[in-house]
Amino acid sequence: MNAFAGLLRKEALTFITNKTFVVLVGLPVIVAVLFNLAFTNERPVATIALLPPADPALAALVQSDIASLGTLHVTLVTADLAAARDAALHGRLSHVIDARALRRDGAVVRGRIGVVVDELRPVSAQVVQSSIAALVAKESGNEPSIGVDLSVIRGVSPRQATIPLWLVTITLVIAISSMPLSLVEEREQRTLRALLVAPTARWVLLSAKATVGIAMILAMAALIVVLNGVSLGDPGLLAVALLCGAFAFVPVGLFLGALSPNQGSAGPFAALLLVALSLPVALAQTEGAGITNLANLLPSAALASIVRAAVVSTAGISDFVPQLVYLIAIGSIASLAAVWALGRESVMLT
Amino acid sequence: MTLAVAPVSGREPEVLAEDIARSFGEINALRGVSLRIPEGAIHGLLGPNGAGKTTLFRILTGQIKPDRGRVVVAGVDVVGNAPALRRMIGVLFDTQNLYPRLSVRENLVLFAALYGVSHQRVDDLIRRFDLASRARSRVETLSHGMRQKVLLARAMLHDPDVLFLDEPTTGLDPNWSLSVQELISDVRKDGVTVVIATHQMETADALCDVVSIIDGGVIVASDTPSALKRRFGRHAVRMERSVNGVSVTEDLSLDDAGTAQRVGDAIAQRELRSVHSAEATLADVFRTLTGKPFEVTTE
Repeated sequence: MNAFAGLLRKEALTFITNKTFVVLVGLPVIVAVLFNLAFTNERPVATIALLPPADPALAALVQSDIASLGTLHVTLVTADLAAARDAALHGRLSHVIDARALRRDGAVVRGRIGVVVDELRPVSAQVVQSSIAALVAKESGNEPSIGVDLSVIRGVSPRQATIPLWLVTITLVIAISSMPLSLVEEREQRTLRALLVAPTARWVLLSAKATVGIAMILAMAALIVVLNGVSLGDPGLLAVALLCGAFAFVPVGLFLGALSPNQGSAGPFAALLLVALSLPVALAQTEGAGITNLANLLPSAALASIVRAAVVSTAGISDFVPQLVYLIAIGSIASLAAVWALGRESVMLT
Repeated sequence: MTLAVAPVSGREPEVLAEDIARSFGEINALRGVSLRIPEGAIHGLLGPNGAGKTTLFRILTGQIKPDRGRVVVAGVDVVGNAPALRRMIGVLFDTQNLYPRLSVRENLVLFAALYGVSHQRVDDLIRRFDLASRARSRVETLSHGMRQKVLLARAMLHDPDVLFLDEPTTGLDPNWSLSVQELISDVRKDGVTVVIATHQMETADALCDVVSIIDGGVIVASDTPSALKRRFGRHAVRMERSVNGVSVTEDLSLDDAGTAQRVGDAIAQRELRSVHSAEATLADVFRTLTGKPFEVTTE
């Protein structure tokens, strides 16, 4: 315990006096600044779900007219209102236009359009309302023949929609990028040799590094949440998710560091691993099923799914047991691999 | 050729190596090395780069395993008992592997924690090694010599039975080198056995009770520095003459029958300016034993 406490103190002092620390602490601030800049410049284009009329010809006409407006981006076409509202509630799109009640009456289109707007996206909600007014005017002609029913939902704010990805990213950056360098720096300045001839088990050396890495991840995640003013669906689940994510990925980074002879070899490999773990998860938010299926196999996707749920819903830990077990298993295997890699004779020789 | 070392006392050797061999791929770094170092002795492993002394050093300190042979240090069989060995030995590496952004005291406190040593011991060593004025300074601000003192203090933290020093004075200016040599001499008063791997002839000559000369992965000679110089060094005088106003210096072997005659001729011709004894060095010993000059490259 004394040895662990000593190593922990050393790791903390080394981390704090490293220039990388400034960059890491600055990252949440940069995220907050960029987000606020982005939100005050929200684009006047709304992503919507469209429930088209049953008449195929009329459905085609409505879709064509919406497309010609250039302000509404249809990302989901469905006949299921519940599914469309659910997509809006979970941030996959912003608003819903229900045109199922429209019918053709000779040359005139009659009926009602239901518009469901997300109150958390006021700019695009305004775009939707003005676009629908233009659409109604175009279809009705001089005599108003289409009524509009407006309802409001409280969906996912842009911050809530994007922060989970940032939380996953900061976890991966610290674990996959900073942790290997922490170990490689020890090797390059030959302090690792001094540690390895001391009567301290290798797992204790790595545990101290891992503890500081996990603490950094939790601290950075807390800063991101606080600085961006994100309201959390389930803070407890988020804490457990980040803890398990850090436990999974920090040992992966240490394993990478234990295998790498110098920063030149650790850096590019860490960058590639970082992209491999994070890109499919990021693309899965917007792209098709192919990417999503691939991303779902990654431990980073397991982490992302729990973090996202913890931010935007009130799902409990029991809903994510398989994902949590998956992350703990990855962390356990990577821990054993890191201890093994640190004991290789080539490490002692360098 | 491997020569046995006569023990300083009749006690069991503190460091025992028997027929150690180690290869790296096709390179035979060590080819059957044996050593017996008695308790309390300062033993030098002397050889140029690539001779095998660093490999032997790493085997003795449990960093790597030999392919063949047996090593016992402070009563601990090194192979398979590295954790027990680590409490018995202190190691000073050939690089200044301190944490540069931590202070002198923080560096020592870390290793005190690893060895289960009190902070009082840290402060005692800081005073003993004359580091008190820089105890709170970051290591990166210290001179090369001062860092070497910190490393020596670190190696001594847990009061080891055997101290292994790899190139302890390399890169130091003469004053610091002397200072570190004095500290090493002082350490033996605590009854510590010291093993020094070095290519610095002066350090080995000044400090070591016994020197083992390594070349090509074998120990080619092992004895006290004075005995080695007596047995394998040249016995010579250096004569300086003035020939037509030009100063000429000659080294003359005392084993050569004509030397006395040449000195006599110089006196008779009134050319002689001075005659000094030219004492043999360990470099001369190395040259005699291996047939090649002692060359050290900077790593």
